[in-house]
Amino acid sequence: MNCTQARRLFGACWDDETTQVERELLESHFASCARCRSAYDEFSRALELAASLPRVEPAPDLVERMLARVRRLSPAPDRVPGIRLGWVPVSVAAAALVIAGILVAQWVGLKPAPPSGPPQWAKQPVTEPKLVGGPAEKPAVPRAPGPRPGAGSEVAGIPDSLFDHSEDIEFILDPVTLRGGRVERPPLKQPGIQGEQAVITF
Amino acid sequence: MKARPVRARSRGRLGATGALVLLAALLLAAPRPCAAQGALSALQTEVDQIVRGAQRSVVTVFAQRTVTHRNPLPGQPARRLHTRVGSGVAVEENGILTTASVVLGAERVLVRAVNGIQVEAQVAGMDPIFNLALLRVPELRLPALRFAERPAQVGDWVIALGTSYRAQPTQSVGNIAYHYREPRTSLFQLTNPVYPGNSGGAALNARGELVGIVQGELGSPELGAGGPDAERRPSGMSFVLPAATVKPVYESLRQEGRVRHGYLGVSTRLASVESDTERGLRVPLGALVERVVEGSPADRAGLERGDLIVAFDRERVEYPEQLARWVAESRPGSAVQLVWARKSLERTGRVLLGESPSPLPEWVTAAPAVAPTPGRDAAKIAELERQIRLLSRELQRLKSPSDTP
Repeated sequence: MNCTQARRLFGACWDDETTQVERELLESHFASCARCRSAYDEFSRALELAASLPRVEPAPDLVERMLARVRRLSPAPDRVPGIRLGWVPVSVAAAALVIAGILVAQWVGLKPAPPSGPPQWAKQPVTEPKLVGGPAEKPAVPRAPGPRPGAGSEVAGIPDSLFDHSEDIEFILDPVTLRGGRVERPPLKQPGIQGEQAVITF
Repeated sequence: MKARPVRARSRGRLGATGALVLLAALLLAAPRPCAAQGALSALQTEVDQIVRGAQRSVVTVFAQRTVTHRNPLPGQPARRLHTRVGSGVAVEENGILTTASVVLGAERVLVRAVNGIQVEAQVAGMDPIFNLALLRVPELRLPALRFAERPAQVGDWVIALGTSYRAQPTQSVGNIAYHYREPRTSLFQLTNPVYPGNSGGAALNARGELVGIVQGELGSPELGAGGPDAERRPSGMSFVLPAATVKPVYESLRQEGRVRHGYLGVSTRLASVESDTERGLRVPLGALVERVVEGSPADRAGLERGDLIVAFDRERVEYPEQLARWVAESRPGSAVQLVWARKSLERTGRVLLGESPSPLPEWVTAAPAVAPTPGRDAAKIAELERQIRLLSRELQRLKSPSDTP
């Protein structure tokens, strides 16, 4: 017990409200600390002097007011504090753990969990296009033509040389026009009469 | 000794703990290059998985027909085989959706799968109004793509798949930037680039489901005119027919081989006037009725030659093709509201549309008829133009809310 703790017990000791342990600790402290012993003697003399003063009658509602005030106060802490960690080291340790966790996760490069279950396409096996009755296969392009026994027949492949003849091949990408915020898809007919001369029936 | 108040001490601890938690949160929110790289890698993996699963369902469509060249080059035959190349999407084991613009007029259609198998295809049905065609490949088994259960929305991510030069696959990732809505149909505008030959390709959502069929891009030049080496200026705006429009058309093509279109029974031409503000600019006014088929829905509604049709179901009509498309996209038997102008007066009527006699309306596939030349009946045309000017002013007055009595 140190001096501060001892002096906190002066009042309780005077009122004989200390526990056996507190009293023994206080007496052992007095044995080793003359200043506290002297302070307690002075404290006792002051209280005895106060007790000799004429008695003053308290206000009639003093008891109720005091009790009400006491009820509002939180319980007093243990006068002999035990070994307990303060909030500061605990909070600092928790924050340090969180920061260390984040740093480790960044370093390792953890992936976030997928938002939901796998979509339908992920569950289905990838199937190759195949001829009726024939196995899936990956032939070289272009393939050799000709029917197969018991299977669907393939036709001659489009030769790659066709792609070099620009007049004979046309890659389709339909033009869409915008008119005043509206989309217009031109008719599929060949360009012909346009404008006010064109008459259409529908 | 004077004791510190309990509340003040609690406040102090709370503040200090809050500061520590804030510090931890700031560290969490700090840029993490490793995590960002992981997310990008995961995105790439998912896109690869979707493409790997769906690419087997995308095919190249070759549509061949014989064309006669008027001025063949020396040593080359006048009659040559012309091939149109597009993309297609398997929606059944042996059913492929593509665009009508690829197979229209074809004498022979071939389909090449991603693994090189090539078979003959039959056109099971075609609709030039919605620009869709259904092909049958009885000798081929393809993994079918499913239509998306949830309608796609602006902002949704889209993967566009198709084939292009030398039948090589193309893919692009983007999103739906805008939804153009018309009275009977709509189009998605995508940020995905598309390539020549992509017409009929697949637009997939983030779950690998079909959200639409690729149509084309904004005002693309005449493709194929200069061949693969020709200069092409991509617009960066591509268009997709949404699944909500594709599905009923596909069902009709599958069951009947055709789509039933609405029919009004009028022949119209464009009516326009010269702009008051820009010299030489013609401002379209609407569809001027040249002829009304006797007994047709238009005849029953009281339309006459010389009437100017200006609105269809509260949508402004500016061009005859616009009105023709909206009529054709309507179901036979459906009632539509038309607004037309006759002798400077506005008239409104409900018309019960009939069914178009042809699944391939002439105005889509054939060159239009020619209206009488102005020189033959100049006085009549001048009078008509005077009336159109009056109608134009009347329309402006009707559109202006302040002049409404």
